[in-house]
Amino acid sequence: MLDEKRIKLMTRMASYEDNEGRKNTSVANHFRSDYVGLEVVKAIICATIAYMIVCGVYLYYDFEELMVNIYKTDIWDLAAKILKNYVIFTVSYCVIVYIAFSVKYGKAKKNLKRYFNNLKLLGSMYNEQQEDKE
Amino acid sequence: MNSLMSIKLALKKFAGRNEALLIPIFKFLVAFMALSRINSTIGYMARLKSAPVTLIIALAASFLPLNLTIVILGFVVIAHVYALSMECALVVFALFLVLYLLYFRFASKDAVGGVLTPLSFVFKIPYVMPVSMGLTGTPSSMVSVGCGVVIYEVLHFIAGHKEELSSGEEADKLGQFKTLIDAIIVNREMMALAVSFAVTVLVVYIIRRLPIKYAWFMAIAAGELSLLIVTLMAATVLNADISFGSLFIGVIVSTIVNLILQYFLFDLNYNRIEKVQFEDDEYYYYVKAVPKNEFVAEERSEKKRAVRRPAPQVRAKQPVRPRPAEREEYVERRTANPDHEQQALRTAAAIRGANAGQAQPRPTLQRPGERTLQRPGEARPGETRTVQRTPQRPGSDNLR
Repeated sequence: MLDEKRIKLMTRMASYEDNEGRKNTSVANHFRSDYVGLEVVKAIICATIAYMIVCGVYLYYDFEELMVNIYKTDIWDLAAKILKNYVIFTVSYCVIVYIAFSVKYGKAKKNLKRYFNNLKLLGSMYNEQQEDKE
Repeated sequence: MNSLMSIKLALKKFAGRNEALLIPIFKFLVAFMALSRINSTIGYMARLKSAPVTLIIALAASFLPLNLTIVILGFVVIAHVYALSMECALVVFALFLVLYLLYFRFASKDAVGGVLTPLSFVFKIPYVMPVSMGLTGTPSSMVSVGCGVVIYEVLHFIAGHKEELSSGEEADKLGQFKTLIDAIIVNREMMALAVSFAVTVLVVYIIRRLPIKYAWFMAIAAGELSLLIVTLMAATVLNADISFGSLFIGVIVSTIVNLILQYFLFDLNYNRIEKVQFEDDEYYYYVKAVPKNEFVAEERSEKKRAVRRPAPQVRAKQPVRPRPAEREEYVERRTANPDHEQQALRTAAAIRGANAGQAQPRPTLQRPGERTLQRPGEARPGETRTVQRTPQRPGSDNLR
């Protein structure tokens, strides 16, 4: 006997499993600190590469002036300036990433919880049907 | 209104039935349009520009994920710019890489905004995108729309300064590099548009999420207003070269397009809001349910039919007219004899003969060469008979 309510529930669950479910499962397999920490580490690497690219482009852009003034420039001062900018940029980027991935983790957990509740509901539906048969 | 609903329902049904076919077609069209526009504006590499290559890439894109298509489009752009100048290609590659590393790496869903925004510029409807992304996306869409503006402006600059950027002399290489970097850093129009688009996305998103009636309409109105005001302010402050006429027309077009989008995505019936309140062990719930607009074609057509059908007319009772004796006789014969037609004709002829001395022939369709059956008292074809007319008796017409 087909149960329309059960079929709707199963369809919704199958759709979730195929789309968001996979991602959410991989997210929820970690502890919050591990997951967010890993993403922050990735963000630091990406921010470093991006900053190096920007610095490289800037150096190439100002190459002539830099070569002319190379002996007049205080290298340590320049390095400190670059480092300071790098720290500010990376920290602010990592804060954004931390917030974004914390929210993402919370949503994934919530969705999975709803999915497991639906699984329980589905199980109880099957049990009711079994009892009715008996 | 109902016809619009029926169109919407038909489109939804059609899309649902042919989803497997429509999605690759949509992907193909997006990739093909983007590639053709790239080829027409910065198509400096002859091999990539050719129609077969464009078609092959677009066909491949129709089966690939959208994000991979975007990566392919990025490489096509870099290849074209490389054919013009290696330094410019380096700048474009660096720009794309930075955008990917900092944003699109973890917001892959929003990458569509980064492609559709430059496309909307090409199709002269750039002001549609921020409001559309605010309606359909998340706050992070403001970054993707801003990135789209930057990508368009860079490519637009390269297309407009071909001679300046393509001189083959070694001494000019650094100059080309500087020119392009300056175009990115000191492009006031780009900054003004990026800021106003980002603010608009945020405004539209915040208002459409508010728990108020007509939130989407208000979001569109507020978005268009903020687009107008912020662009005007940014253009004035940054001294950017933005045509106010095109801005006004663009905002009007954007309003129309986004109202259509709203109709298809979020069409609610605010007249039928239901408010319910209940509680469980832990919470009180105050629920406001807003139903979607429904299509009521069957009901309406029934109603229409009911209106069109003429109401039964009540006729005044006619006084019963006494039947003539001949009529009574005809009715009796008809009920007694199944071959009533022939009987009726004979009776009519007899009555007419009695009235006029001669029966009138019944008009029949006759083919050439066909013989007509002769009735008693009738004239043969070609024969003329003298008829004596006598005045008809009143009531004899009833039998015809």
